[in-house]
Amino acid sequence: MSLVELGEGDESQTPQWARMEMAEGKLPIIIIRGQSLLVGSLTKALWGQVRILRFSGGPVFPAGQFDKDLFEDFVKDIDSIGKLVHATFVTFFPKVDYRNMEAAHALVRFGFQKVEGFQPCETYIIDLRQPEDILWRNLARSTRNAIRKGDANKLEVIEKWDLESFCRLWPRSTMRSRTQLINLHREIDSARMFLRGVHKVMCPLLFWLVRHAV
Amino acid sequence: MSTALLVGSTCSIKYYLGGTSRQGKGIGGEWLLWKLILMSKNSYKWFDLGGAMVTQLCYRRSSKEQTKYAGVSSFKKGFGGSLKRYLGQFDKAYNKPLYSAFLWGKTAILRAFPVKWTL
Repeated sequence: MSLVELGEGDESQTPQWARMEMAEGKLPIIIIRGQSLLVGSLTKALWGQVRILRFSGGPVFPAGQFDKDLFEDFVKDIDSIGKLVHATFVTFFPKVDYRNMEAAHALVRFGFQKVEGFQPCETYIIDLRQPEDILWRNLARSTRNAIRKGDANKLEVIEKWDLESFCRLWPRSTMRSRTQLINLHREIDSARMFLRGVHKVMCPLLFWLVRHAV
Repeated sequence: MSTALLVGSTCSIKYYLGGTSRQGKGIGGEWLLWKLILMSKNSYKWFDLGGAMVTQLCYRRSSKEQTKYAGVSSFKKGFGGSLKRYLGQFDKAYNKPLYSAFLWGKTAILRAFPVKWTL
């Protein structure tokens, strides 16, 4: 069984994802325990002063069944790696059901705290094994009407398999008007300028204060 | 014009990012996503709509943000998928002052410069 197959149902738990993170300058970390794995990465922020160990998904269990002992072992591994790489903090977003108290208890036991994250905690999943007519029937009436209108307008799908094409096309699809296009760029630039100012002036002072406080 | 970025693993495919221009509003997004669902049907078992924005609707306070998240939520709900909830984010800080300062800074920056260009 290959590692890609093990990453069943979770794109963040595949070596391809780890490779992508590596391309972004992050250090990928793969923990393998028997037929299970957990993929994460180590990110350095603010000139390497903040080291974030992030696991945004997983772990992948054999046959997709939650295993309490295995989950505990993974949490233990995460904790050990966090100490080993001198991480400032570890962020773990396990892809387990919200009612799974065993997983929550294991995390709390190892000193993890629940936080309101930036990543969505819930999603809608469509079962693609259902026949097309059932999928169509499950759609809301407004969605069905919009699709019918789209068909009547003879729209067409253009497939592109590279991220660069998407990055080129996507801003055009999100722009509501030309004015917004200008404003958006101005906003991004002003944010960058602001961040640069914060980096230059505030960070050395902040780190000095934090170091002396510790 | 509508765009959608999908990322696939062995048996599931996830809708990561998308957008619709003013001309395609109310038609393009739904039509494109439906076509992509049909195209994915032969290769994957699950189609993940990449977030439901239900919790965000409870947390966000300003009416402008409520409207924005309600729109995204109803768009995704319209495809008839089942709602799947995860345990959420868990953090462990090894350097608590630096961790708190980093989180405070990140939240302050996101509040000052909210990301307006996600779907």
